[in-house]
Amino acid sequence: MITTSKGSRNLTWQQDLSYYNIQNITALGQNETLFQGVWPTTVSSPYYHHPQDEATSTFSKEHLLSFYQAYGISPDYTAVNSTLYALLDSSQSGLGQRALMDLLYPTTTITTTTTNNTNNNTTGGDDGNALPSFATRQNGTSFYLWNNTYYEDAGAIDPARGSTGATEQWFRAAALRPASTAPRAYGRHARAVDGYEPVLVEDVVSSSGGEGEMPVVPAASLVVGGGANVLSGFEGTGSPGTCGGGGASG
Amino acid sequence: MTVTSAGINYDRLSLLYFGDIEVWRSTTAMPVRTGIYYTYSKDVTAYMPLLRTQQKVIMQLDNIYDSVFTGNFNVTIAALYYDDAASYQYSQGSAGHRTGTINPPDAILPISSRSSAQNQTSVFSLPDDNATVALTFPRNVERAVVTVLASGSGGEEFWYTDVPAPYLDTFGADVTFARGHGPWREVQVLVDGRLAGVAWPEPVVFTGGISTGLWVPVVGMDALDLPAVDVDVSPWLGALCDGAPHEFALRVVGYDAAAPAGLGTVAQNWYVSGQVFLWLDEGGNQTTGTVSDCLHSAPSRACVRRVLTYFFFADWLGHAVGARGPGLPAGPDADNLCQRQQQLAPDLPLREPLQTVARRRDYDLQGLA
Repeated sequence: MITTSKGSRNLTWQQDLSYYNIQNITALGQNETLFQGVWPTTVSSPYYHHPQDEATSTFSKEHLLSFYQAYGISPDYTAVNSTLYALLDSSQSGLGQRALMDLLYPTTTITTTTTNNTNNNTTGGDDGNALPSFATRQNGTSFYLWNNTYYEDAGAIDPARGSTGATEQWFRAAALRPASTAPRAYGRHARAVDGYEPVLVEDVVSSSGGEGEMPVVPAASLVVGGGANVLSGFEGTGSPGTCGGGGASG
Repeated sequence: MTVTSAGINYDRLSLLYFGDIEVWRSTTAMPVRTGIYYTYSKDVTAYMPLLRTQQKVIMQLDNIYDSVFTGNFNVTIAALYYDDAASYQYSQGSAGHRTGTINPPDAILPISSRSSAQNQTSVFSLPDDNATVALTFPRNVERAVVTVLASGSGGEEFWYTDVPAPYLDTFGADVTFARGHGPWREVQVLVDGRLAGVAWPEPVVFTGGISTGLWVPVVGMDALDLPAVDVDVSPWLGALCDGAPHEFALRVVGYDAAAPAGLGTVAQNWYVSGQVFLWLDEGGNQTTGTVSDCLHSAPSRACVRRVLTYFFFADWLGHAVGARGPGLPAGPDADNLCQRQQQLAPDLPLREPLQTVARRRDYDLQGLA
């Protein structure tokens, strides 16, 4: 309970965080498949316009990182390049806004951004019905050549001739304009061919009320890896478990 | 911020400070022989108290520039001011509150090493430094938010691929990603020695990370503008507005099964700095308050409460295992993770845990009332 010249008010700060990680590492660390997810949620009090207001504002995010990398070390740098093969899928999505932004950009009316950790928005896609919101996803593949003799043990930097790859990104954000009930949305879809001479082959920007069609951010997918690093290849028996129920606080 | 570079070099970390307050943390794209160019715009409206007065601008971008590393970085930073009087209103509404759609803070206090007088950035490097400062709040603060910038560099750049200590000996000494602190980190904000809030960093893949070939020309998410995290310390104002100095501390911990509560140190070079954004009660000269008992109050009470549930999986021999062990609190978080796993990877079986960690903490702040 905080008391100022405007009266007394309960202020809230709560956090719930979840984390999930699985790694499959082989060849003394040269090959790895990793999937990691972080789900932070904060509940705070928005900047009030009326005393005794106990509304709360929730900001929830999902961040997923999934990749597979496999190094091929050349026994003779003078003859054959070393290689690095990588697959990546990464995404972020969010509903609501950070506490600092909530105070910096208060709306003219008290809003409560309601989120639910079990909602379907945590798929890397976005929910156009909840504001503000954003979603972005990157998906890439790369076969990269490198050779220490190019630059005296400088390491695997500067794409070497023969490297190939492609990286694609989707982005969408929507928010309520100040002093308006009309949401605004911004989207972008870019796709590039990677390599010694990278090329941006697609870059489409769109906005609500403007040109272009708003992109749909596709849901994230799991990079399952390859060979001994495949995440789905387990030793022994095991069957998909079932998800239980129950209540929780915090 | 506009950057150009041509040649060969690694991706580099940059820190931009106004005095002792960090405004922007970024990493560079890696240059190529034919040259790169990029520009990025960042909304710094929250720093308006600084932008309205003269500031010492300090930018640190450490680089190696020699016959091998030939890519130098040319950096230009410009501040764009927008005259948006319609949105920026200090006028008081009928209820005596601000009614503007842009509501900047009145003051910003640094949680940093305060090194601008030596023309240096004021960043702490953990775990070597002691990231603790004493701050005295104005007596009439009505809202306060701590923001923290924290990122791992050097041996901690790939903290999210680290492995727990028991598996460290599996890898050879040349494997740099394995430090024995696990693939999880927590950034902590403490007020007077009590935990006020935490952040679990989300992995930011710099342009040399995973594979350099992925990041030309599209860079990893947040690589050009590393995200800050917030801890709203407004529930603490009843204690913080007493006119006395209060201790604000930043910590970074990793997972250590052998340590108390599973929290251990990190390897090196976690660069952290923070600041407190203050909004003042213009009509009052003293903020007072009490803190409810978090353990027994309804969730809407003023309190800090943290419930953590996380699962750790690790396998180093080519066999992946999953963990969702017994003894973990059931509920939406655990169920949601289970459901998400099945959404993303239905072939992944749920097996007995290799290691599981579940923690729950409720913080009683009555001691500060």
